[in-house]
Amino acid sequence: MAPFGKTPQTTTMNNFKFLLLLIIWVALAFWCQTKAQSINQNKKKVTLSGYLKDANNGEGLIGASVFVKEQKNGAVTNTYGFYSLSLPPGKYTLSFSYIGYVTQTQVVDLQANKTINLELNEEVSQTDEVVITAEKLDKNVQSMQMSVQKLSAKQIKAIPTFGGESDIIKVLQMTPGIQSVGEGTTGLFVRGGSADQNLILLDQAPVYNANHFLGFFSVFNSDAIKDVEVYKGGMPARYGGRLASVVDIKMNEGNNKSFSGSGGIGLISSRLTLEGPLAKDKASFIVSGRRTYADLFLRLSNDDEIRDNRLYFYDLNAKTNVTLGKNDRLFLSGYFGKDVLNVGNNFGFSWGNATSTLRWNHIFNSKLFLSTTLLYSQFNYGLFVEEGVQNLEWSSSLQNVSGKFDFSYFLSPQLQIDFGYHNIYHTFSPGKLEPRGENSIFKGLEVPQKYALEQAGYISIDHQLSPSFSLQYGVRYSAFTNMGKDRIFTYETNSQGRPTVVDTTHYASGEFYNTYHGIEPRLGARLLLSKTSSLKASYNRTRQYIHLASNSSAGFPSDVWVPSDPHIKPQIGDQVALGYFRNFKNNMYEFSVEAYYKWMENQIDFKDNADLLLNEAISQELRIGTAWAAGVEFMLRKNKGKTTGWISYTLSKTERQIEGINNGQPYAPRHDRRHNINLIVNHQLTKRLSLAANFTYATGAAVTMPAGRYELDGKTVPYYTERNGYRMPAYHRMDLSLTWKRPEKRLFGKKFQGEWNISIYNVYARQNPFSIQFSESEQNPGETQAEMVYLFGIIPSVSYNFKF
Amino acid sequence: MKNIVYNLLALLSIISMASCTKVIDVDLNEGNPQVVIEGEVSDQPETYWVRVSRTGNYIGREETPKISGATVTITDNNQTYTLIENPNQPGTYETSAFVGVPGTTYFLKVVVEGKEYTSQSTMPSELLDFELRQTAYFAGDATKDPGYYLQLFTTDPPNEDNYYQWRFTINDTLKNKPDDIAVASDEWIQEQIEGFQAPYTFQAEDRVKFSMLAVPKETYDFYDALVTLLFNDGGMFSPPPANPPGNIDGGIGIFSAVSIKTKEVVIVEKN
Repeated sequence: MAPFGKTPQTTTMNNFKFLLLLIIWVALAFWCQTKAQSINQNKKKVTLSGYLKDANNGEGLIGASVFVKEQKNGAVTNTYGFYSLSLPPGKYTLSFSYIGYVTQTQVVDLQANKTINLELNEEVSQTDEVVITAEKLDKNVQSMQMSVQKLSAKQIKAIPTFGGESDIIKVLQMTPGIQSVGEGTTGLFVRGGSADQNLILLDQAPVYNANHFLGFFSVFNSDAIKDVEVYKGGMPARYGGRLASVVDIKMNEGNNKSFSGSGGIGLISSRLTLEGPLAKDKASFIVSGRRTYADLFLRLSNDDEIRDNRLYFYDLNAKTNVTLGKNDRLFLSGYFGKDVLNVGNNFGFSWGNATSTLRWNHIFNSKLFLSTTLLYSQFNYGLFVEEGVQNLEWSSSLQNVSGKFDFSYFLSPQLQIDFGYHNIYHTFSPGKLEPRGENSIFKGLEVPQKYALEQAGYISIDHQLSPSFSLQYGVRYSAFTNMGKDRIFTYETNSQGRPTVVDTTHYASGEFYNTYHGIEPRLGARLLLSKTSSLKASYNRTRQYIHLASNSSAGFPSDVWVPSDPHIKPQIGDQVALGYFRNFKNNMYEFSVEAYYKWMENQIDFKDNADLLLNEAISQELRIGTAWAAGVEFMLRKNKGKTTGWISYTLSKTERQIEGINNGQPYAPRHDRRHNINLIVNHQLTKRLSLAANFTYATGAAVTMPAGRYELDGKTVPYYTERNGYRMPAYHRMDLSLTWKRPEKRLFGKKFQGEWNISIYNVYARQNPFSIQFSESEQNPGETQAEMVYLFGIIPSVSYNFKF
Repeated sequence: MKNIVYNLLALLSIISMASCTKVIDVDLNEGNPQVVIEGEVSDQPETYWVRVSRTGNYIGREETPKISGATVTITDNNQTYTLIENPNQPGTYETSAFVGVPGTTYFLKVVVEGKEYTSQSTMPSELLDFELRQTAYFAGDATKDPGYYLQLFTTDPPNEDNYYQWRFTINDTLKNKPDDIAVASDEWIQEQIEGFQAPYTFQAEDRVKFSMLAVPKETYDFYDALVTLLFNDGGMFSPPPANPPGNIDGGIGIFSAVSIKTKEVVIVEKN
């Protein structure tokens, strides 16, 4: 029955085995460590540490390298630009490098612990070559991490866009192993996982609904973003809470050298970003805003009805950071965004996210680094209807407050330990209905709020066992506790096969009444085959305690998140991955091939005709089963030269098997794609002119089609026998864009640079299927037909961007 | 009422995308033909009917086959009534041998080629009386056309679950398109309904026949799902299409025992 030889036996994969394995790893690690120490026993070690920053704007450089020539060894800066290295006392030649920046070399006599903070200057390119990555050149091969995709804002902006809006999520969908569910949607389906299995973090704060305009745009304004990293597998132990991936998005920190700005004017929206120092080299800020303006044109209309309609969204990002002495740094960042749609005064719908992050980075000593984070995240939506006595107001929200302590302990260049503790306090308000005016036919109604506490502790060890072999082993232990005030129903199936409530258990406010917990082992290994090639392998288990109740594949802002409770078990996912990594031509080309297999328990789908709105008994609408996914991802990437970009191919398959759906037989979820090809090319034509193109091809979505029809109540009704047994026609599309950099001007004493961009979406006007509709023909009543709906022809757009 | 929200969401997804369509060829697997049964018994003295047919291939204009020669019976507390096939409408079986009584459970049995299909439906309590009032002329706004409207005044019995269905016949034509299906649950509704507006725009002198039905939960669930299905565009914003949950054991369809009240009004000029 299962497509990959045998049905995965997941339920009994016992934790004990992993624990045993882990103990062996740890024992092995410490044995190696003591052995290494005993050799150097007589030599006391000293530590070199510090921050590497961009000389231009003072932002921390992530993944920059510090290389010790004499030791042929080194360190890489962390997310905050911090590095730490332990060496025997002596004289060393250090080189500090970062791609696209001028390498600095220093000779130091290291007798005691020492701090070196450096600012690297961006390379002033004499040629018109572009360097597009912000990575250590050989990271692809050298780093422990596999199944990760990192993109900088620069890369994201270099790709043709829809309507001139560059979008992080859309670019991620062009990388191997990540699918979209259809034209113009921002849902991510990572390695067969569903859209709610991605933890999307904006400066560490979870974003629960990353959509604008029902998914045509994401909430991430690329002007406010520094970079994004997606973990599809080999999940580091510091991350958890979702099955399929972590999308870690970092906001720009703000220029602490001088005041500057950037912005853009497009057909759909305009953007403006301002940044600058609050105290030079000590504190900086950045504020970035974006708003669409379709409705501003509506207001110009003479027609009252049109003038009263509203359709817009906006985003506001802000961040500030303060350096408090040499060991402490504070960051405060926030995001606020909203979508509004009003049809006259009769109907309104709005939704939005808010997040905020307060982080304090502290260096205890040159070996121990602590990041303490306080997070708040909120999503809400509301709608109103005002039609005589049919008037109502509807609202729903979810909130969480979270604290995180993340330690990094740099024991030696061979051994780094990360450990920490996270907790999240969730508040779910699934839905509230209120009459809006007098005489409303609606009564007040509310699905009770739900509360839960999610906690996790982790330890992760990066261990270089030999110059060519490294291990990363760790474990995360997570727990999820439901809290009162709450009431939990007990159900029994009645004679008609419907669940009915037979008993209700009440819990007092603050009472802990149900806990799920479990171990999440994480393992990774890297073997360098040569200086330019490596093999990597990983295993990870992830647990997910909150689930999105969405009965459509793209999702609506009105979908609610549902916590695990006595009726809904946590989702559990296991993944093994194996990869081969090879760089060519002095790291000009990166090649990788990765294969993965995933098996998942307690996967959720919804029963036929599920009722998810304002339903307190939502657990009875769920159907639970297993899922599995396998795939091979090929990626060839070129990061230097006049022509940059990548080509990727993914071969994959994913299936679910859930009792009560598709007659209990395995079926493909809508986002299952057998083949997926992506090509992205950016070519620098001249110093000022660049051309970008992308092409994507994907197997058609798995969809349900009728097996027949019948007449009932004078209507023709389709009849179904299975779920997702058909494929839509394949999806393919090509986009082009041309960017023309204007010569630099001086404006009010500032350098000012403008840039024109012309994009063409769907260059060869492919009619890509959005859906296939089965209905009676309007021209020939009585004749039933299949009708394909497609959205776009060729869509050209133009935008103007500037910076000063 | 839940459909309000779904429909608004569907509307939203249409607003946000200008779409085009084209008819395509699809190669569909044919399922085994199923027997389809539809029937209604009410508390009014009228002819009750049961229609029996079969599913057919989806694509094309061929009518789905009607089933003649079936044995169709309805049983109440004490008696079994045999329905007679209407010679002018093959597959439609009728009786006027009894008048339904609220609170009674009716058992349907249909035998087709030796195979038995059964169903049962319990008629809800008698529908409370209601009033239908015509509005003054309305000049129109963003969501409604200019014209006259009809408003419903009624009481929904509290502390019990009630389900309703509405049918409109305007100038002798039964409104019978998919978007004319109107069912409601009182789950979100309060007791006094004062001026619930029907979704039709009328002109002066329109003759309107309005029937309100108290229906069993199964009938409500069936039509509620049927609306969702008929408006399912198969796209990523729709739920996976699914057969409406009928109450015919062994077949497809719905058998309902309903309490009906009908009012007739003629729209008059009124400012």
